[in-house]
Amino acid sequence: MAKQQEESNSNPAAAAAGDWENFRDDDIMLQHSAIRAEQADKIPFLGDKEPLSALAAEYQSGSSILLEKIKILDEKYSAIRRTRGDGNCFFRSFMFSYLEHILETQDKAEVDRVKANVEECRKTLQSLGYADFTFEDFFGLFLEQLENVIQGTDASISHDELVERSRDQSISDYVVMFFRFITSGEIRKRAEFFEPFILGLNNATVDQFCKSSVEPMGEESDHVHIIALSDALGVPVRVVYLDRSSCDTGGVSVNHHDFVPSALSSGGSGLEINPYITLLYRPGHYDILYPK
Amino acid sequence: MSSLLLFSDESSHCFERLLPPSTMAGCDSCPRVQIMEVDLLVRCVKVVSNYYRYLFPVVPPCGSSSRLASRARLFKEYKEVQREKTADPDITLVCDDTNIFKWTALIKGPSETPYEGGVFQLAFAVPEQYPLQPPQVRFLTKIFHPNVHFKTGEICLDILKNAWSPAWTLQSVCRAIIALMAHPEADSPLNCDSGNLLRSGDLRGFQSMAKMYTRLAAMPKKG
Repeated sequence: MAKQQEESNSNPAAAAAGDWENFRDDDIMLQHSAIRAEQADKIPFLGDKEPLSALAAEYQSGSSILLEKIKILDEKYSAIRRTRGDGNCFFRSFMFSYLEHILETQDKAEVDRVKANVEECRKTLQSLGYADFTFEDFFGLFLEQLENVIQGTDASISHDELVERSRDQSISDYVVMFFRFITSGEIRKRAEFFEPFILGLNNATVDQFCKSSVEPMGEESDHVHIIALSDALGVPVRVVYLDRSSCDTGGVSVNHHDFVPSALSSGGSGLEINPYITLLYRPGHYDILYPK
Repeated sequence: MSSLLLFSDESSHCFERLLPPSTMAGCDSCPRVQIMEVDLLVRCVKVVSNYYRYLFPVVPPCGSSSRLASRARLFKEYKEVQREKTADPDITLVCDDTNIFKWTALIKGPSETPYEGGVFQLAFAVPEQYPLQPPQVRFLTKIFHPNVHFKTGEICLDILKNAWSPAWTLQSVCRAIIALMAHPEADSPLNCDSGNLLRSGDLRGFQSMAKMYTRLAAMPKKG
Protein backbone atom coordinates (compact mmCIF):
# COMPACT_ATOMS: atom_id res chain seq x y z
CA MET A 1 0.00 0.00 0.00
CA ALA A 2 2.58 2.53 1.12
CA LYS A 3 4.85 1.47 -1.70
CA GLN A 4 2.33 2.29 -4.36
CA GLN A 5 1.68 5.68 -2.88
CA GLU A 6 5.31 6.61 -3.32
CA GLU A 7 4.76 6.58 -7.04
CA SER A 8 2.49 9.56 -6.76
CA ASN A 9 5.55 11.78 -6.70
CA SER A 10 5.50 13.89 -9.81
CA ASN A 11 7.68 13.42 -12.76
CA PRO A 12 9.76 16.48 -13.65
CA ALA A 13 11.76 14.52 -16.21
CA ALA A 14 8.62 13.85 -18.21
CA ALA A 15 7.70 17.52 -18.03
CA ALA A 16 11.13 18.56 -19.27
CA ALA A 17 10.99 16.16 -22.17
CA GLY A 18 7.70 17.69 -23.24
CA ASP A 19 6.11 14.32 -22.83
CA TRP A 20 2.53 15.41 -22.35
CA GLU A 21 1.34 11.88 -21.92
CA ASN A 22 3.12 11.78 -18.57
CA PHE A 23 2.61 15.41 -17.68
CA ARG A 24 0.25 15.15 -14.77
CA ASP A 25 -1.79 17.45 -12.60
CA ASP A 26 0.89 17.23 -9.91
CA ASP A 27 3.34 18.74 -12.35
CA ILE A 28 0.94 21.52 -13.22
CA MET A 29 0.40 22.25 -9.55
CA LEU A 30 4.16 22.25 -8.97
CA GLN A 31 4.52 24.74 -11.77
CA HIS A 32 1.77 26.89 -10.27
CA SER A 33 3.48 26.97 -6.91
CA ALA A 34 6.79 27.85 -8.60
CA ILE A 35 5.12 30.80 -10.30
CA ARG A 36 3.60 31.85 -6.98
CA ALA A 37 6.98 31.62 -5.29
CA GLU A 38 8.46 33.83 -7.99
CA GLN A 39 5.70 36.40 -7.40
CA ALA A 40 6.29 36.18 -3.68
CA ASP A 41 9.85 37.38 -4.16
CA LYS A 42 8.58 40.51 -5.85
CA ILE A 43 6.06 41.67 -3.26
CA PRO A 44 5.48 40.33 0.24
CA PHE A 45 1.95 39.56 1.49
CA LEU A 46 2.11 43.01 3.04
CA GLY A 47 4.37 45.84 1.89
CA ASP A 48 5.92 48.73 3.78
CA LYS A 49 4.09 51.99 4.37
CA GLU A 50 4.77 54.23 1.40
CA PRO A 51 3.90 57.90 0.76
CA LEU A 52 1.19 58.51 -1.83
CA SER A 53 3.86 59.89 -4.14
CA ALA A 54 4.90 56.26 -4.66
CA LEU A 55 1.46 55.66 -6.10
CA ALA A 56 1.70 58.69 -8.37
CA ALA A 57 5.07 57.49 -9.63
CA GLU A 58 3.38 54.33 -10.87
CA TYR A 59 1.12 56.33 -13.21
CA GLN A 60 3.64 58.97 -14.33
CA SER A 61 3.25 58.04 -17.96
CA GLY A 62 -0.32 56.93 -17.58
CA SER A 63 -3.80 58.39 -17.48
CA SER A 64 -4.10 62.02 -16.47
CA ILE A 65 -7.41 61.28 -14.75
CA LEU A 66 -5.62 58.89 -12.41
CA LEU A 67 -2.89 61.39 -11.63
CA GLU A 68 -5.56 64.00 -10.96
CA LYS A 69 -7.31 61.62 -8.62
CA ILE A 70 -4.13 60.74 -6.78
CA LYS A 71 -3.63 64.45 -6.13
CA ILE A 72 -7.08 64.58 -4.56
CA LEU A 73 -6.30 61.48 -2.51
CA ASP A 74 -3.17 63.18 -1.31
CA GLU A 75 -5.28 65.80 0.46
CA LYS A 76 -7.01 63.23 2.64
CA TYR A 77 -4.62 60.33 2.82
CA SER A 78 -1.03 60.22 3.86
CA ALA A 79 0.19 56.78 2.93
CA ILE A 80 -0.49 53.51 1.22
CA ARG A 81 0.53 49.98 2.16
CA ARG A 82 0.44 47.47 -0.65
CA THR A 83 -0.62 43.86 -0.45
CA ARG A 84 0.21 41.00 -2.76
CA GLY A 85 -2.21 40.53 -5.62
CA ASP A 86 -2.86 36.86 -5.06
CA GLY A 87 -6.63 36.96 -4.78
CA ASN A 88 -6.47 37.30 -1.00
CA CYS A 89 -5.58 41.01 -0.96
CA PHE A 90 -8.90 42.19 0.47
CA PHE A 91 -8.71 39.78 3.40
CA ARG A 92 -5.03 40.47 4.05
CA SER A 93 -5.64 44.22 3.95
CA PHE A 94 -8.58 43.80 6.30
CA MET A 95 -6.53 41.67 8.66
CA PHE A 96 -3.62 44.06 8.98
CA SER A 97 -5.70 47.24 9.08
CA TYR A 98 -7.94 45.90 11.79
CA LEU A 99 -5.19 44.47 13.98
CA GLU A 100 -3.08 47.62 13.51
CA HIS A 101 -6.07 49.70 14.59
CA ILE A 102 -6.48 47.64 17.75
CA LEU A 103 -2.75 47.78 18.43
CA GLU A 104 -2.71 51.56 18.15
CA THR A 105 -5.91 52.32 20.03
CA GLN A 106 -5.72 49.50 22.61
CA ASP A 107 -9.51 49.55 22.40
CA LYS A 108 -10.41 46.67 24.70
CA ALA A 109 -14.14 47.28 24.37
CA GLU A 110 -13.80 46.77 20.61
CA VAL A 111 -11.86 43.55 21.18
CA ASP A 112 -14.61 42.23 23.45
CA ARG A 113 -17.26 43.30 20.97
CA VAL A 114 -15.58 41.60 18.03
CA LYS A 115 -14.90 38.47 20.08
CA ALA A 116 -18.61 38.20 20.81
CA ASN A 117 -19.30 38.48 17.08
CA VAL A 118 -16.71 35.81 16.34
CA GLU A 119 -18.49 33.49 18.78
CA GLU A 120 -21.76 34.22 16.95
CA CYS A 121 -20.06 33.27 13.69
CA ARG A 122 -18.82 30.05 15.27
CA LYS A 123 -22.40 29.16 16.16
CA THR A 124 -23.53 30.08 12.65
CA LEU A 125 -21.02 27.68 11.10
CA GLN A 126 -21.99 24.95 13.54
CA SER A 127 -25.66 25.37 12.76
CA LEU A 128 -24.84 25.26 9.04
CA GLY A 129 -23.33 21.83 9.60
CA TYR A 130 -19.63 22.63 9.46
CA ALA A 131 -17.60 20.26 11.62
CA ASP A 132 -15.78 22.18 14.34
CA PHE A 133 -12.40 20.78 13.46
CA THR A 134 -12.60 22.19 9.95
CA PHE A 135 -12.58 25.80 11.14
CA GLU A 136 -11.50 25.96 14.80
CA ASP A 137 -7.75 26.21 14.07
CA PHE A 138 -8.37 29.28 11.92
CA PHE A 139 -10.60 30.85 14.57
CA GLY A 140 -8.01 30.11 17.23
CA LEU A 141 -5.21 31.74 15.34
CA PHE A 142 -7.17 34.94 14.69
CA LEU A 143 -8.29 35.23 18.31
CA GLU A 144 -4.68 34.74 19.34
CA GLN A 145 -3.55 37.65 17.14
CA LEU A 146 -6.35 39.76 18.55
CA GLU A 147 -5.16 39.12 22.09
CA ASN A 148 -1.52 39.60 21.23
CA VAL A 149 -1.93 43.12 19.90
CA ILE A 150 -3.28 44.17 23.30
CA GLN A 151 -0.24 45.32 25.25
CA GLY A 152 0.77 44.42 28.75
CA THR A 153 0.91 40.63 28.62
CA ASP A 154 3.78 38.23 28.03
CA ALA A 155 2.37 37.42 24.61
CA SER A 156 1.99 41.04 23.51
CA ILE A 157 3.53 41.95 20.20
CA SER A 158 4.92 45.19 18.83
CA HIS A 159 3.91 46.89 15.59
CA ASP A 160 6.99 45.44 13.88
CA GLU A 161 6.03 41.96 15.00
CA LEU A 162 2.53 42.46 13.67
CA VAL A 163 3.99 43.37 10.28
CA GLU A 164 6.25 40.35 10.47
CA ARG A 165 3.37 38.04 11.32
CA SER A 166 1.25 39.44 8.54
CA ARG A 167 4.06 38.50 6.17
CA ASP A 168 4.44 35.01 7.63
CA GLN A 169 2.50 32.66 5.41
CA SER A 170 1.57 30.24 8.17
CA ILE A 171 -0.16 33.05 10.08
CA SER A 172 -1.36 35.27 7.27
CA ASP A 173 -2.97 32.45 5.28
CA TYR A 174 -4.69 31.10 8.39
CA VAL A 175 -6.19 34.49 9.18
CA VAL A 176 -7.30 34.89 5.57
CA MET A 177 -8.97 31.52 5.83
CA PHE A 178 -10.62 32.58 9.09
CA PHE A 179 -12.18 35.55 7.27
CA ARG A 180 -13.27 33.31 4.43
CA PHE A 181 -15.10 31.05 6.87
CA ILE A 182 -16.75 34.06 8.53
CA THR A 183 -17.76 35.47 5.14
CA SER A 184 -19.14 32.18 3.90
CA GLY A 185 -21.09 31.61 7.12
CA GLU A 186 -22.66 35.06 6.94
CA ILE A 187 -23.65 34.68 3.28
CA ARG A 188 -25.19 31.28 3.92
CA LYS A 189 -26.98 32.46 7.04
CA ARG A 190 -28.56 35.34 5.15
CA ALA A 191 -28.91 33.47 1.88
CA GLU A 192 -32.18 35.19 1.02
CA PHE A 193 -30.56 38.60 1.29
CA PHE A 194 -27.47 37.69 -0.72
CA GLU A 195 -29.10 35.47 -3.34
CA PRO A 196 -30.09 38.23 -5.81
CA PHE A 197 -26.58 39.78 -5.68
CA ILE A 198 -24.97 36.42 -6.27
CA LEU A 199 -27.35 35.53 -9.08
CA GLY A 200 -26.49 38.80 -10.76
CA LEU A 201 -22.78 38.29 -10.23
CA ASN A 202 -22.19 34.87 -11.70
CA ASN A 203 -25.48 33.08 -11.97
CA ALA A 204 -24.72 30.63 -9.18
CA THR A 205 -26.63 29.43 -6.17
CA VAL A 206 -25.56 30.68 -2.75
CA ASP A 207 -24.04 27.29 -1.97
CA GLN A 208 -22.12 27.14 -5.25
CA PHE A 209 -20.90 30.70 -4.78
CA CYS A 210 -19.63 30.04 -1.27
CA LYS A 211 -17.96 26.81 -2.32
CA SER A 212 -16.31 28.20 -5.43
CA SER A 213 -15.76 31.91 -4.75
CA VAL A 214 -15.56 32.41 -0.99
CA GLU A 215 -14.06 29.40 0.74
CA PRO A 216 -11.15 28.55 -1.59
CA MET A 217 -7.95 30.53 -1.01
CA GLY A 218 -7.02 32.92 -3.80
CA GLU A 219 -10.59 33.63 -4.91
CA GLU A 220 -10.99 37.37 -5.30
CA SER A 221 -13.38 39.37 -3.19
CA ASP A 222 -16.29 41.36 -4.49
CA HIS A 223 -18.86 43.63 -2.86
CA VAL A 224 -20.72 40.56 -1.61
CA HIS A 225 -17.67 39.40 0.37
CA ILE A 226 -17.07 42.83 1.86
CA ILE A 227 -20.69 43.31 2.90
CA ALA A 228 -20.78 39.88 4.50
CA LEU A 229 -17.51 40.22 6.41
CA SER A 230 -18.26 43.76 7.55
CA ASP A 231 -21.73 42.72 8.74
CA ALA A 232 -20.59 39.53 10.44
CA LEU A 233 -17.86 41.18 12.48
CA GLY A 234 -19.64 44.52 12.82
CA VAL A 235 -16.62 46.34 11.42
CA PRO A 236 -17.23 49.25 9.01
CA VAL A 237 -14.99 49.47 5.94
CA ARG A 238 -14.39 52.37 3.58
CA VAL A 239 -13.34 51.58 0.04
CA VAL A 240 -11.88 54.38 -2.06
CA TYR A 241 -12.06 53.83 -5.79
CA LEU A 242 -9.19 54.73 -8.04
CA ASP A 243 -10.22 54.12 -11.62
CA ARG A 244 -10.50 56.08 -14.82
CA SER A 245 -14.13 57.05 -14.43
CA SER A 246 -14.84 60.74 -14.33
CA CYS A 247 -17.91 62.95 -14.00
CA ASP A 248 -19.45 64.57 -17.03
CA THR A 249 -19.56 67.86 -15.20
CA GLY A 250 -15.86 68.18 -15.70
CA GLY A 251 -14.52 68.06 -12.19
CA VAL A 252 -12.63 64.96 -11.17
CA SER A 253 -13.59 63.46 -7.84
CA VAL A 254 -12.66 60.31 -6.04
CA ASN A 255 -15.55 58.07 -5.14
CA HIS A 256 -15.69 56.05 -2.03
CA HIS A 257 -18.17 53.63 -0.59
CA ASP A 258 -18.72 52.94 3.07
CA PHE A 259 -19.68 49.43 4.05
CA VAL A 260 -21.59 49.96 7.25
CA PRO A 261 -22.56 46.83 9.18
CA SER A 262 -26.31 46.34 9.27
CA ALA A 263 -26.15 46.28 13.07
CA LEU A 264 -24.82 49.86 13.08
CA SER A 265 -26.86 51.33 10.25
CA SER A 266 -30.22 49.92 11.33
CA GLY A 267 -30.01 52.05 14.46
CA GLY A 268 -31.07 54.84 12.11
CA SER A 269 -29.31 57.45 14.18
CA GLY A 270 -27.74 58.87 11.02
CA LEU A 271 -24.49 58.79 12.92
CA GLU A 272 -21.39 59.60 10.92
CA ILE A 273 -19.41 56.39 10.78
CA ASN A 274 -15.69 56.74 11.07
CA PRO A 275 -14.36 53.52 9.59
CA TYR A 276 -10.94 52.45 10.78
CA ILE A 277 -10.33 50.28 7.78
CA THR A 278 -9.79 52.25 4.60
CA LEU A 279 -8.89 50.39 1.46
CA LEU A 280 -7.83 51.67 -1.92
CA TYR A 281 -9.51 49.77 -4.74
CA ARG A 282 -8.03 49.68 -8.17
CA PRO A 283 -9.89 47.36 -10.51
CA GLY A 284 -9.00 43.87 -9.34
CA HIS A 285 -6.95 44.84 -6.31
CA TYR A 286 -7.13 46.22 -2.77
CA ASP A 287 -4.39 48.02 -0.84
CA ILE A 288 -4.46 49.76 2.54
CA LEU A 289 -4.85 53.55 2.77
CA TYR A 290 -3.88 55.70 5.75
CA PRO A 291 -6.08 58.78 6.35
CA LYS A 292 -4.36 61.96 7.52
CA MET B 1 -0.22 -8.40 7.53
CA SER B 2 -0.44 -5.16 5.63
CA SER B 3 0.53 -3.17 8.68
CA LEU B 4 3.76 -5.17 8.93
CA LEU B 5 4.55 -4.49 5.31
CA LEU B 6 4.15 -0.79 5.90
CA PHE B 7 6.91 -0.82 8.43
CA SER B 8 9.32 -2.85 6.40
CA ASP B 9 11.45 0.00 5.09
CA GLU B 10 12.03 1.90 8.26
CA SER B 11 12.33 -1.02 10.59
CA SER B 12 14.76 -2.96 8.45
CA HIS B 13 16.86 0.15 8.33
CA CYS B 14 16.95 0.28 12.11
CA PHE B 15 17.47 -3.41 12.24
CA GLU B 16 20.59 -3.13 10.15
CA ARG B 17 21.94 -0.48 12.43
CA LEU B 18 21.34 -2.63 15.46
CA LEU B 19 22.85 -5.71 13.93
CA PRO B 20 25.29 -4.97 11.12
CA PRO B 21 25.44 -7.60 8.35
CA SER B 22 28.82 -8.87 9.62
CA THR B 23 27.32 -9.70 12.99
CA MET B 24 24.48 -11.51 11.34
CA ALA B 25 26.75 -13.46 9.05
CA GLY B 26 28.83 -14.73 11.91
CA CYS B 27 26.00 -15.69 14.13
CA ASP B 28 25.07 -19.10 12.89
CA SER B 29 24.44 -20.27 16.39
CA CYS B 30 22.19 -17.36 17.10
CA PRO B 31 18.61 -18.58 16.86
CA ARG B 32 16.56 -16.77 14.27
CA VAL B 33 13.85 -16.11 16.78
CA GLN B 34 16.01 -13.60 18.58
CA ILE B 35 16.53 -11.56 15.47
CA MET B 36 12.80 -11.58 14.94
CA GLU B 37 12.31 -10.35 18.46
CA VAL B 38 14.69 -7.45 18.01
CA ASP B 39 12.89 -6.59 14.81
CA LEU B 40 9.55 -6.76 16.54
CA LEU B 41 10.79 -4.62 19.39
CA VAL B 42 12.00 -1.96 16.96
CA ARG B 43 8.58 -1.97 15.38
CA CYS B 44 6.77 -1.73 18.69
CA VAL B 45 8.91 1.16 19.86
CA LYS B 46 8.24 2.94 16.60
CA VAL B 47 4.51 2.38 16.84
CA VAL B 48 4.35 3.69 20.39
CA SER B 49 6.51 6.73 19.73
CA ASN B 50 4.56 7.59 16.60
CA TYR B 51 1.31 7.20 18.45
CA TYR B 52 2.47 9.64 21.09
CA ARG B 53 3.58 12.05 18.44
CA TYR B 54 0.02 12.03 17.08
CA LEU B 55 -1.45 12.38 20.51
CA PHE B 56 0.71 15.25 21.65
CA PRO B 57 1.84 17.24 18.68
CA VAL B 58 4.20 19.94 19.87
CA VAL B 59 2.45 23.13 18.90
CA PRO B 60 4.63 26.20 19.29
CA PRO B 61 2.94 29.30 20.76
CA CYS B 62 2.67 31.02 17.42
CA GLY B 63 3.72 30.75 13.82
CA SER B 64 3.45 27.01 14.13
CA SER B 65 5.03 25.48 11.10
CA SER B 66 2.54 24.20 8.61
CA ARG B 67 3.65 20.62 9.15
CA LEU B 68 2.61 20.73 12.78
CA ALA B 69 -0.63 22.50 11.97
CA SER B 70 -1.48 19.91 9.35
CA ARG B 71 -0.55 17.09 11.69
CA ALA B 72 -2.86 18.50 14.36
CA ARG B 73 -5.70 18.83 11.86
CA LEU B 74 -5.15 15.31 10.51
CA PHE B 75 -5.21 13.92 14.01
CA LYS B 76 -8.59 15.57 14.56
CA GLU B 77 -9.81 13.97 11.35
CA TYR B 78 -8.40 10.66 12.53
CA LYS B 79 -10.36 10.89 15.78
CA GLU B 80 -13.49 11.89 13.88
CA VAL B 81 -13.12 8.92 11.53
CA GLN B 82 -12.76 6.58 14.53
CA ARG B 83 -15.79 8.09 16.19
CA GLU B 84 -18.00 8.05 13.09
CA LYS B 85 -16.86 4.70 11.81
CA THR B 86 -20.34 3.45 11.13
CA ALA B 87 -21.82 6.77 10.00
CA ASP B 88 -21.06 6.20 6.33
CA PRO B 89 -21.05 2.52 5.40
CA ASP B 90 -19.84 3.31 1.89
CA ILE B 91 -16.51 4.71 3.04
CA THR B 92 -13.72 3.09 5.03
CA LEU B 93 -10.94 5.56 5.63
CA VAL B 94 -7.70 4.25 7.13
CA CYS B 95 -4.61 6.14 8.16
CA ASP B 96 -1.21 4.59 7.55
CA ASP B 97 0.14 3.23 10.83
CA THR B 98 3.39 5.14 10.69
CA ASN B 99 2.60 8.21 8.65
CA ILE B 100 -0.42 10.40 9.31
CA PHE B 101 0.13 12.07 5.91
CA LYS B 102 -0.72 8.84 4.09
CA TRP B 103 -4.26 7.49 4.03
CA THR B 104 -6.14 4.83 2.15
CA ALA B 105 -9.85 4.66 1.54
CA LEU B 106 -12.13 1.92 0.35
CA ILE B 107 -15.28 3.24 -1.26
CA LYS B 108 -18.27 1.34 -2.53
CA GLY B 109 -19.39 1.97 -6.07
CA PRO B 110 -22.70 3.85 -5.97
CA SER B 111 -25.85 1.84 -6.72
CA GLU B 112 -27.53 2.11 -10.11
CA THR B 113 -24.18 2.85 -11.72
CA PRO B 114 -21.83 0.47 -13.56
CA TYR B 115 -19.64 0.64 -10.45
CA GLU B 116 -22.26 -0.94 -8.21
CA GLY B 117 -20.96 -3.91 -6.28
CA GLY B 118 -17.36 -2.85 -6.67
CA VAL B 119 -15.02 -1.71 -3.94
CA PHE B 120 -12.49 0.88 -5.03
CA GLN B 121 -9.29 1.74 -3.27
CA LEU B 122 -8.09 5.36 -3.09
CA ALA B 123 -4.65 6.56 -2.04
CA PHE B 124 -4.33 9.90 -0.26
CA ALA B 125 -1.05 11.77 -0.04
CA VAL B 126 -1.56 14.77 2.21
CA PRO B 127 0.77 17.75 1.71
CA GLU B 128 2.41 19.56 4.62
CA GLN B 129 0.34 22.66 3.86
CA TYR B 130 -2.87 20.74 4.46
CA PRO B 131 -5.61 21.86 5.00
CA LEU B 132 -4.72 25.01 3.04
CA GLN B 133 -3.76 22.75 0.16
CA PRO B 134 -5.76 19.75 -1.04
CA PRO B 135 -4.73 16.16 -0.55
CA GLN B 136 -3.53 14.30 -3.63
CA VAL B 137 -5.96 11.50 -4.26
CA ARG B 138 -5.92 8.78 -6.86
CA PHE B 139 -7.60 5.51 -7.58
CA LEU B 140 -5.43 2.48 -6.90
CA THR B 141 -8.20 0.27 -8.29
CA LYS B 142 -8.53 0.36 -12.06
CA ILE B 143 -11.68 2.21 -13.07
CA PHE B 144 -13.24 3.18 -16.40
CA HIS B 145 -14.56 6.67 -15.83
CA PRO B 146 -14.26 9.86 -17.92
CA ASN B 147 -12.70 11.85 -15.08
CA VAL B 148 -10.20 9.28 -13.87
CA HIS B 149 -6.92 8.69 -15.67
CA PHE B 150 -6.96 5.10 -16.82
CA LYS B 151 -3.26 4.49 -16.16
CA THR B 152 -2.41 6.65 -13.16
CA GLY B 153 -5.76 6.76 -11.37
CA GLU B 154 -5.51 10.55 -11.18
CA ILE B 155 -8.88 12.21 -10.57
CA CYS B 156 -10.16 15.33 -12.28
CA LEU B 157 -12.27 17.01 -9.63
CA ASP B 158 -12.39 20.74 -8.96
CA ILE B 159 -12.25 20.44 -5.18
CA LEU B 160 -8.94 18.59 -5.47
CA LYS B 161 -7.53 21.49 -7.48
CA ASN B 162 -8.54 25.15 -7.48
CA ALA B 163 -11.86 24.83 -5.66
CA TRP B 164 -10.30 23.19 -2.61
CA SER B 165 -10.96 24.72 0.79
CA PRO B 166 -10.21 23.62 4.35
CA ALA B 167 -13.95 23.15 4.85
CA TRP B 168 -13.46 19.82 3.04
CA THR B 169 -12.20 16.80 4.92
CA LEU B 170 -10.72 13.51 3.78
CA GLN B 171 -14.10 11.96 4.50
CA SER B 172 -16.06 14.54 2.50
CA VAL B 173 -13.56 14.22 -0.35
CA CYS B 174 -14.46 10.52 -0.48
CA ARG B 175 -18.13 11.47 -0.66
CA ALA B 176 -17.39 13.89 -3.48
CA ILE B 177 -15.55 11.14 -5.37
CA ILE B 178 -18.50 8.78 -4.94
CA ALA B 179 -20.73 11.56 -6.30
CA LEU B 180 -18.35 11.97 -9.25
CA MET B 181 -18.60 8.24 -9.95
CA ALA B 182 -22.37 8.59 -10.17
CA HIS B 183 -22.24 11.80 -12.21
CA PRO B 184 -19.36 11.70 -14.70
CA GLU B 185 -18.40 14.95 -16.41
CA ALA B 186 -17.84 13.74 -19.95
CA ASP B 187 -16.91 17.19 -21.21
CA SER B 188 -13.68 17.42 -19.23
CA PRO B 189 -12.32 13.93 -19.63
CA LEU B 190 -9.05 12.50 -18.39
CA ASN B 191 -10.05 9.24 -19.99
CA CYS B 192 -10.99 10.28 -23.51
CA ASP B 193 -12.24 6.85 -24.63
CA SER B 194 -14.69 6.86 -21.79
CA GLY B 195 -15.63 10.49 -22.32
CA ASN B 196 -16.18 9.97 -26.05
CA LEU B 197 -18.53 7.06 -25.50
CA LEU B 198 -20.70 9.22 -23.28
CA ARG B 199 -20.47 12.26 -25.51
CA SER B 200 -21.48 10.30 -28.57
CA GLY B 201 -24.48 9.05 -26.66
CA ASP B 202 -23.30 5.46 -26.47
CA LEU B 203 -24.49 4.98 -22.93
CA ARG B 204 -24.68 1.24 -23.37
CA GLY B 205 -21.12 1.03 -24.61
CA PHE B 206 -19.89 3.14 -21.70
CA GLN B 207 -21.81 1.16 -19.14
CA SER B 208 -20.63 -2.22 -20.38
CA MET B 209 -16.99 -1.10 -20.41
CA ALA B 210 -17.28 0.44 -16.95
CA LYS B 211 -19.08 -2.64 -15.64
CA MET B 212 -16.48 -4.95 -17.13
CA TYR B 213 -13.63 -3.13 -15.41
CA THR B 214 -15.59 -3.05 -12.16
CA ARG B 215 -15.90 -6.84 -12.36
CA LEU B 216 -12.27 -7.30 -13.34
CA ALA B 217 -10.68 -4.92 -10.88
CA ALA B 218 -13.07 -3.96 -8.11
CA MET B 219 -14.74 -7.23 -7.18
CA PRO B 220 -13.30 -10.25 -5.40
CA LYS B 221 -12.08 -12.87 -7.84
CA LYS B 222 -14.28 -15.92 -8.04
CA GLY B 223 -12.79 -19.26 -7.17
